Amino acid sequence: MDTGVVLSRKQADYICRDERYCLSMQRYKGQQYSQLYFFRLHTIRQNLLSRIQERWPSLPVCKILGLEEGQLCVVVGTLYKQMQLKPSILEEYSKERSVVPLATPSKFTHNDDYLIMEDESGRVKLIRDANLPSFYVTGVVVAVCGKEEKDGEFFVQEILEPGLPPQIPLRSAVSFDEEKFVVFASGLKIGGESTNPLELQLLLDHLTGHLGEEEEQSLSSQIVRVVIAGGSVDLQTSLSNGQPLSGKEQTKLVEPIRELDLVLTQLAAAMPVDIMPGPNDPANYSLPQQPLHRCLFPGASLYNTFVSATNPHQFELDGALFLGTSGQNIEDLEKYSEAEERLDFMERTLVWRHLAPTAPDTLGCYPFTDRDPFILEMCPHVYFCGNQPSYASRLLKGPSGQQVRLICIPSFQETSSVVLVSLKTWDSHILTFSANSFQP
Amino acid sequence: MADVLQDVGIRDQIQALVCDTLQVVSYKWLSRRFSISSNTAKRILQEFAEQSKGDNIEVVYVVAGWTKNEPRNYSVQLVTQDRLQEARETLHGSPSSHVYSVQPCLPKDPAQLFAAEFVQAQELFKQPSDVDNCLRDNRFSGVSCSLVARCLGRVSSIIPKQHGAISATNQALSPPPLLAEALLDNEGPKPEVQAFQSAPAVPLGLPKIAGGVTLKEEPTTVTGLTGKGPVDSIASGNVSAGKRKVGAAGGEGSLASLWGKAPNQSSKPSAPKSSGPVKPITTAGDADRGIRAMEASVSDASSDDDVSGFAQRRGGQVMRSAGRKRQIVLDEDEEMSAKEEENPDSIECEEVVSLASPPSKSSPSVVAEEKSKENTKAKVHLPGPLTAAIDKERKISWNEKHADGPEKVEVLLEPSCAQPVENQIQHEGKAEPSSVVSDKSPSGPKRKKVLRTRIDNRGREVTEVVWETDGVEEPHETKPASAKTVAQPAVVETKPITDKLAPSKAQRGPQQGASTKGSNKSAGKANAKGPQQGKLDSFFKRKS
Repeated sequence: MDTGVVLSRKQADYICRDERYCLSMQRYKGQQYSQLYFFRLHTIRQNLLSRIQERWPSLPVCKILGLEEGQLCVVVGTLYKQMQLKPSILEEYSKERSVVPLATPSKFTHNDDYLIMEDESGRVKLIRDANLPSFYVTGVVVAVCGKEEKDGEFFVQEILEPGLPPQIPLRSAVSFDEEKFVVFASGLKIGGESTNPLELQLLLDHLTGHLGEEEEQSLSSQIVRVVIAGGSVDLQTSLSNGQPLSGKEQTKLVEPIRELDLVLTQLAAAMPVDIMPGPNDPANYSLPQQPLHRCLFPGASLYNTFVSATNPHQFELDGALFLGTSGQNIEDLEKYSEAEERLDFMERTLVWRHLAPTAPDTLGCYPFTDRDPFILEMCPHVYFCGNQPSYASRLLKGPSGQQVRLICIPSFQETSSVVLVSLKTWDSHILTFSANSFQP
Repeated sequence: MADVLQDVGIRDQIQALVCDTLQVVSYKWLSRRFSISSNTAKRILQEFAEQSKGDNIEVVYVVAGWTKNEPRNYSVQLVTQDRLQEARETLHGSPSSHVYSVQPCLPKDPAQLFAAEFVQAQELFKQPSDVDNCLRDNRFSGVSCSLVARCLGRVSSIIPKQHGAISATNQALSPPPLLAEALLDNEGPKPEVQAFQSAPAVPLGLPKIAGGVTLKEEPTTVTGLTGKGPVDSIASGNVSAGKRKVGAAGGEGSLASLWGKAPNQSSKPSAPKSSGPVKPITTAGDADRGIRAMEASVSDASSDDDVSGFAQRRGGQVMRSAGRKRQIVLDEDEEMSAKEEENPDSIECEEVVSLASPPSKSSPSVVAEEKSKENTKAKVHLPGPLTAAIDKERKISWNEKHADGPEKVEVLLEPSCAQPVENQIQHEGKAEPSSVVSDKSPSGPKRKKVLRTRIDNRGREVTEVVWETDGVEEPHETKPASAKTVAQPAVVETKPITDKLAPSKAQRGPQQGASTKGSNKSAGKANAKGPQQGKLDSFFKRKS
C-alpha cells in the first residue's frame, strides 16, 4: 500500500467551443423572436432542400400560400403545435385568480392537439393520423409531402426531418490506444436538504485520487476531465423573500456556493473541470445560459483547469465533439410531447438538428437576431443531458456513418452516481457511491 | 526506521484522538493533519485498526470495484467491518478496500463521518490565497496531474474594474488581495455605481448651493446651458435666478395652473430631478422650469433675445396647451424626445408670445412651437451656456436702456397660431427676460423681473415682465392683482377687463394665475433650501 509511486493523470487535448452560446456581444434592442424563427427556418430549410430532392425529386416545393387544392407537393415550414392544456398567460389572467389548481400538470399533451405548419407566407393545419402531434413540438422545421384538402387543411402523407447532421470522423485510433475516461456529473445540489455530503466527499476523493488502492487510483488517473452538467447548488431561495437580509441570513444563503467552491477547488487542483449552469443555478434563466461567474468561485477560478462553461456546452476532447445541456431542453420536450424514454427525446433533437426546438415558445431563450445557435451543424460524438431522473445511454448510429453516444446523466442527489465515458470504446458506465450500508 | 517511529507516534495520537476526544479520524484527515500522503495514511490507519481490534474502535472500510453483474458499474461503498466481506463478494475480482476511518462508535448520521474532515478542509480553504496548502495542490493524493497550475495573478475581470472604479471614486474599499474576498465583497459593484452616481452629483451640487428646489433647476439649467460653465456664472445665475423667480413666479404660477396639475408637477419633479445626474432642464417637468431656467440664464449676465424670447415663447406655449403638461427641454445635447408629446396642437396652433413693444405687436411675435423647433431654436440660440447668458444680459440691459414705452413682455395668446420661427427673429429685437423668474443680477444695479398684467391699448390683458430695480420701478406698473392670490379660482377673478379676444382672455386668466402661482412658488423656492413650496413672504419681500 505504501507505494511511493504517484501515478500521473492522463491528459487530453481540450478545445472549448462555447463561443456560439456566448451572449456578451449581443445587444438587446427590444427585438422579438421573429428573427430567431426566421433564421431557424431558413437554415434548416437549406439542409432540407437537398434531402427533398433525393426523396421526392419530382414534386415541387411550394410556399404555403402557393398551395393548390389537390396538388401533391412538398412544403417546408416550422411546426406549431396547438395544445389546449398549454399554459397561457392570458387564460391564467382571465380566470379567477383565487382559484388554485388542484394539481399542476407536468405534461401538457392532449389527444386533441394538432399541428400547424407555418412558413414566411402563411399557415396551414396538418392532418394525418393521431400520433403525429404527440411526436412533434412547436419549433421543429420539417418538410411534409401531401396535398391540400378542400377545407384548407393539408393532408400529410410523409414527413421528412432534417436528419442527423454530418459528423467529422474521428482521428485514427492512435490517440485512443490508452484508456481515457470523462466523468459527467450533474445535480450535485450542494446545500440541499436531501443531499448526502458524504457521498459527494467520496466522489471527490475518488476523482482526486485519494481513495482506493492502486487499482482504483489507476482508474482515477485515467479520468481526464470532469463535466458538471448543471444543478450544482440548491440555494434556499425562501430566505430571500424581499426583505433585507441580515448578515447571518446572507451567509446562510450563500453557504452552498462556498461549499461548491470548496469542492471545485479540490477538484480543480487535481484535474480539469468544466462546470455548466443548470436550472436553479445562479445564472440567467433563458437559454443559452451564460457561464457561472468567476466571482462565485474565488478559490477554484484561480486554477487553469477550471472552466466555467455555458449551457449548452460544446467542446472537443482529442478531436471528439462533445455536446450537451443541463437538461432543460429535454425536460421541456417531455412536457410537450411523448416518447418512451428520455433518450428518445435526445435522439429526436439530433434528428431535428435543433437542440431546443421549444425555445422560445415554452423554453426561455434569448432573441437572437443574427443566428440560431441551437441549430446543430455537426453531429457530436457524445451527446449528454444532465439532471435526468435516471441513467440511460444509447449508441446511436446514423445513416451516413455517424455514431453518437447519447447519455442521460442522472442527478447525483438522487442516485449518487456519475457517468464514466470511455474515450476509447465510447462505452459508458456508472460510477456509484454508497455511504449508507455501513449503518448498523 | 524513522518512518516507523513516526508511524507509531501517529498511531498514538490517533489513539488519543479517538478514545479521548471521540473524534472520527479518516484517512484524509490524517494525511492532511500530519502531512503524509493518503496512501501512507491509509496504511497507518490499517495498522491502527489491527492493533486495536478489541478496543471498542469502529472501523469503516471503503470497497470499490466493478460490479459483477451487468451492467458493469463501478461502485464505491462505505461499509462496516462486518459487511466488508459481503461487499467484496458483490464486486468483480478482488476489489480494493481500505480503511476509511476509525471512530469510537458508528455515528447515526453518515455525514458525521466526514464532519471533522470538512472542518479541516474549510480551514485550509480559508487560508490566504497565496498560501499553497495541501488542499490547494492536492499533494497527498495518489494521482498527480501536471496540467494543473494555480495562478494567483489570475484575478477575475471584476476585480480590476472594481479597483479602477474604487480608486477612481475614492471609495474606502481596499482591493481584496484575491478573489477569496470577492465573494464576500458584495459591495464591489456598488461602490462603482455609487461612485458614478456621486460623480455627476458633484457638479450639480454647486448649483444646489443656491438652495431651493426651484433654484436647483435653474442652476442646473444654467449648468446645462453652459455645459458646466464656470462656477461664477452659476453662482450669479443662482443669485439672480432666485430673485427673478419672485417676479416670474407669478407668471409661472399662472402658467402652471393652466392645467390644474401643473403646479404639483412642477414641484415634485423638480426635487428629484435636480438631484439626479441628469442634464438639467431636461428633467424639468414643466415649461415653468424651463422658463425659469431661461430666466436664470438671462438674468445672469447677458441678454439673449432669443433665449428670453424663447422662454417667453415657452411660457406662451405653456399657456396655450391647456390641460397638457409640457416639458420644456433646454438642453442642447439631449433630444427632446419625450417632451411635449401630448401636444399635437402645438404644431398647428402656435402660441405667440410677443416680446416686442406694442407697436410691433401687430404680428404675432411669439412662437409656440413644437418642442423640437423650440429645441432647435434653443440650440441655435444657445450655442454655449455663457453666450446665452451673455445674450440675456445684453437684452436686459438693452431693455433697461430703453425705458420707454411699453418695453414689456407681452404674452399674446392668439388662438390661431402661427408663425414659427420668425418670431425668434423678432425676439432678437426685443429684450425680454421671460416672465418667470425674477432675480437680481449681480453685475448691474439690483433689478429684478417682475410679472405684471395690464390692459393694453387694444383691450387685451397683457402679462408683462418688467425689470424693476430696487425700489424703483421701471416703466411698467401694476403687479398683477393676481399675484396676491395663490389659488387658481382667485386668479381667474382677477381678470377684470373684458377682452375682445375671449379665448385669449380665458387663457390669460389661467395664465395669470399660473404665473402668479409660479412666481409665488418660485419665490418661495428661491428662499427654501429644500424641496418646499414657496413662501408667500419672500415673494412680497422681494417685490418691495
